[in-house]
Amino acid sequence: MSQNSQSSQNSTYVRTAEDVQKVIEHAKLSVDNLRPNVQNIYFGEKFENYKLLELDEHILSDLKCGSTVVFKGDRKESAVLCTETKTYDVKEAETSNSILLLPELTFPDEESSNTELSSRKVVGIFHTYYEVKSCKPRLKKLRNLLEKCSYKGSELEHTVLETNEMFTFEHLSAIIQASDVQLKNALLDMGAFQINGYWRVLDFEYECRALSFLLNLIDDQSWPYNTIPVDETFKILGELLPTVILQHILDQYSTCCVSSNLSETHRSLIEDKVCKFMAVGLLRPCDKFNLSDFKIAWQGSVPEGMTTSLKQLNGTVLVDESSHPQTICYFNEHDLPDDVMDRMQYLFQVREKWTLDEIRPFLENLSTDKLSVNSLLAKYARASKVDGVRYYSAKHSSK
Amino acid sequence: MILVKLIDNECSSPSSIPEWAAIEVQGELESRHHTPFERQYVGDLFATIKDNVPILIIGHHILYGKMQTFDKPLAVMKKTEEAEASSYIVQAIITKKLLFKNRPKPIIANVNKIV
Repeated sequence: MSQNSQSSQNSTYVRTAEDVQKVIEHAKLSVDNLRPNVQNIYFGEKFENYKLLELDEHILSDLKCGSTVVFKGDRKESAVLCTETKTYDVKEAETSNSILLLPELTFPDEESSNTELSSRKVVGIFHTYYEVKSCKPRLKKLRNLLEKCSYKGSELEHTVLETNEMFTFEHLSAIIQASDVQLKNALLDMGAFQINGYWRVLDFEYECRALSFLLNLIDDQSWPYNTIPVDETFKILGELLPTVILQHILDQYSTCCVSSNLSETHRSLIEDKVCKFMAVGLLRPCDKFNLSDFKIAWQGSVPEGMTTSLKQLNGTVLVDESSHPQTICYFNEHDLPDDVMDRMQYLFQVREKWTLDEIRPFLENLSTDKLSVNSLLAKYARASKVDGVRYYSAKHSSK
Repeated sequence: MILVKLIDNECSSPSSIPEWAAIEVQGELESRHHTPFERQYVGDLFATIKDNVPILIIGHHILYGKMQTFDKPLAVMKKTEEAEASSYIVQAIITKKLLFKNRPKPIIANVNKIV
């Protein structure tokens, strides 16, 4: 499309009513059919370096409330946009059309009493804009960062502090591609806690040790696992564990006693959490465990009165029922790639065929309201039936 | 990390973001002698009384368009560098545009009166 060259080199050319009259005639338009307010479009004196960002209602209302939204991501990461609660994937979208930006323009449906010419300025021409799509927060980095500086006990704390970077919430919020609400939830989910304002996780071996102090004490004192006196626990274990750690272990693995007269003074261990931790403790050091041996050892490791069940280990283990004898191994969902394609590829490398129940715990965290585990599988895997059982395998045979 | 926020203006209520408009045309705009765009005249925008059809005349081309609301509004952001932190300031929101998606039609003018 070529632009009128009438202005030639003259940058101060201004449209007159006569010019407009002429153009209406040439175009064979009838003045009677046109609204009287004609707008003459000019380019502005200077094109600012604007960027266009697509907004959904949520982002728009956040901005209108005066909230700040944030682009996050370093050079190696693709950018996300975070509001207080949500995370969006940001992609630069291209259009072959030209989008002209005008601070002032009267739309045809707007009433205007103006019968004079009005001049309008184009302040920029765009062929791209940032597109946003709601996505999952990217949290893999968070676990990696916190595990690097994990708490390993008071005697090693000095070295850990000296050789590692420590992270406050503000610091994490700046470098983790998640909204603040999502980041807070992720920290709680992974059992992180604060020591002197820095977010930490317990080193796995240290946590094993700390929890077994507690379990041994319960065993020694013959306390029922759902009625643990808090004061006495602190008094006895206070010599072995720093208060902040003991408090954290209690927060993680117990709740207030249900019985109202004990709720202030006693705690009750959370069966599923304790059982799961003990199972991981047994499985993590070795490649594979004979399944029936494991079940016996596991039940023996938990406090009296608790019942272990493989259901407690959803998303943490792989059971191989086809091998003889049957085996179980440690396989944690949070060690898997965050990207759907990468994760599928990885899962089908580990095991060629999965039933829905087997694979579900490893995909659940990637599913969204719009994309269930079933639709993820329909999209990224191939289904087949063997003896009436439906299996999922890789869509493309791996190279 | 780059912050995106509205213009800092304590006196105006935060919900009053200026509304700008967009005109979307097919393809590229070119000036005939590849002179810079700045300050140049582009064209005339009309609207019909009946049905509110926007009409844009650029050079010897006439374009019939329509009004459209963006499914997702666009924020117009300007980058500012303050100290070491850069941020985007939202200058305006665009919710409506005039879309000229059809190919422009040439205007056959009287021979002696070429604009």
